[in-house]
Amino acid sequence: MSGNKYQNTDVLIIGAGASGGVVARRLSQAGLSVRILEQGQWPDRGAFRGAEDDWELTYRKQWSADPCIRQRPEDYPINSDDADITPLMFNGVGGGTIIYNGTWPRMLPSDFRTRSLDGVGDDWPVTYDELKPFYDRTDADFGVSGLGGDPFFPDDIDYPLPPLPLGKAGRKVAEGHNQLGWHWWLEPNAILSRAYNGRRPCVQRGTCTSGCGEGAKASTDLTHFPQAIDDGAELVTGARVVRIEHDAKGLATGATYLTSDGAEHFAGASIVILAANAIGTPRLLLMSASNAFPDGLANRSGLVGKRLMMHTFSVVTGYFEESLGTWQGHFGASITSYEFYETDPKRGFARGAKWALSPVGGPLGHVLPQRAGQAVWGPAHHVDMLERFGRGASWAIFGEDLPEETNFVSLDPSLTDSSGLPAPKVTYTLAKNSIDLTHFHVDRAVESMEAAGARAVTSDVLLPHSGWHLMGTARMGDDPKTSVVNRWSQSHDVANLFIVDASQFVTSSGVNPTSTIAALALRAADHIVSSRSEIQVPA
Amino acid sequence: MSSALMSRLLDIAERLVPTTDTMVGAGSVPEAEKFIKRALESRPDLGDGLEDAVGECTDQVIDAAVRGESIDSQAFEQVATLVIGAYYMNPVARRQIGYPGQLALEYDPMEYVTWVDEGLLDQVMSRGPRFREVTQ
Repeated sequence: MSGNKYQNTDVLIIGAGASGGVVARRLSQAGLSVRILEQGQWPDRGAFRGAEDDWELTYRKQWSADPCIRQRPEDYPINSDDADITPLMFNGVGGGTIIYNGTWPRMLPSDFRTRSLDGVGDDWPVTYDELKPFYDRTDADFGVSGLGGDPFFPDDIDYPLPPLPLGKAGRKVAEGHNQLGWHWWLEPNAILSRAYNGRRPCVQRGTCTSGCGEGAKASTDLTHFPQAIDDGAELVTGARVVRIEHDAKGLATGATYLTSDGAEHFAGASIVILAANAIGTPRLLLMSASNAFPDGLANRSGLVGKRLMMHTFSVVTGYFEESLGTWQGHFGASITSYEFYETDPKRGFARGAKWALSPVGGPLGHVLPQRAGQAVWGPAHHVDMLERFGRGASWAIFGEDLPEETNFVSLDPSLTDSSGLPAPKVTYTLAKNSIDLTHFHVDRAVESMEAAGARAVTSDVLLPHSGWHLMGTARMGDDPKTSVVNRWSQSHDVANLFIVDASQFVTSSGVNPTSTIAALALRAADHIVSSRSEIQVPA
Repeated sequence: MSSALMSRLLDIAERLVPTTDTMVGAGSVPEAEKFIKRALESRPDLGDGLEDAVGECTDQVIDAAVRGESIDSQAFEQVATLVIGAYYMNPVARRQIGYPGQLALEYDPMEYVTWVDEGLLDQVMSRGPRFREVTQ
């Protein structure tokens, strides 16, 4: 080990994604000394391919959301042989926000109370009302475009920017829902409809999920880390954390990490914050096992790595007579529907799903949506392209996934990353509730497309390569026996260790998680600022 | 790449996406070879073991694909992704389907005011609050 490469800081943050960016900016702004360790690099925005003709080809490899396909040096492999859904992520400054679609819904009030309301999952120790001020602040920080007044929310959310365009497809499906008497609303997106805070507005290129070349889509390499660095934070890239260290009292003292040359370093801090996503965070906690914490750091509950949740994902596409140009548009979503979001006991399952209407991609994505062996070949190929390409509108359906301790992240006994560190293994089985829920929603979405006038409708049900939303592997709760962190995202076992990513989610809701990740991280950061003198730290 | 390998790739491409009375196919589109090479530059991984992969894509496999049979073959996946990826990078192929590429578009962020005024959201609003009451 090279010894203390740096002076100790007030705070060490592991992971420079969404939640890491939020806490880094807030804590730096408050005057704390902050160091961030990130195994990836700053994104090379010149390498984004959205405006190039090879965009779709590179999207399937270099910009794949699957680290096992992408295989960048900073990526670690994930063993998902025993998982019904493949986990997806991005490693680098900005983390998943580099390749997410920017959809920015809040969780609904009922999402925090599934046990009380529906007898499933668990209640959160925080409420929508408690989180609302933080949602409002993160909306402003990320730059969210949307329209207030959605009747599915109890308050008239005042988005900082006007909504992104409805588009031809959005209008067509909205009119279909009006005929059915079903809910729809404009989807909020962390994508700028106007110039904002030095960033340019969206140009509807439709390539958000392989990096936004305009910088219109919020990602923390743009929205948070530059300001944090201006306020004194130090961001160390190419730093792969090996373990979190602790002292004899069981307080975290910092982290040991490797640089790309293989050299080992130690970064000390008074407070350690984990922000490495719901796979990376439990992996690090399990890798940090010691005599004092034989089952992994902060794991006296035995729940580190357990209760992994990944939204089910299905797509229903309607094909219309006229061209809708749906290779373009924010991706992101134009409209959303919560019509069947809440539990209805008559359906035979609990909870529900959110629908988001999205663009459908370019020609290669149309020809090879899943596998080349299932595409339309021969003379019929041209007929299919002319009749369907650009004429489709897709409902992306995210179903709530209830927590199960049998779905978990562990350390693989043999698979390692390029540094020889244990890779995570994901064990995950779709629950019957998730499957029943999905089929009900797919059937309703088909009706939606038919009402909108689609001449043909196709369904891709329970797509396996869809684990964008990773949640729940270090859950929040008031009881140390049944949770890993408390209501302030603070470890029950290690007083100066915080977990601010979606690992702390108690339930998954049915909405895209990043807005809630950001709000919870900001709330935790505020708590650290206000109660810093009360947090026990190493001598 | 050998001329024989390129020739076989173009043959496979043409059979997967053939020329018709109105559409030029993937093996005979102008500059087809150039775009296959460009696709390989963009995706060097598709060149790994390409000769073997092409060898696995026998006429029987291609015929089965054209008949609509499901082909569960990594080799076919590799070859099809390469030749079709190259085809749809080609401006001629793109023009045929009315696809100009992913463009930067202009729009009015206040356009929603018009359709809200027209009443598009009236049905949704008329149903009143829909959120589920929660006891905090």
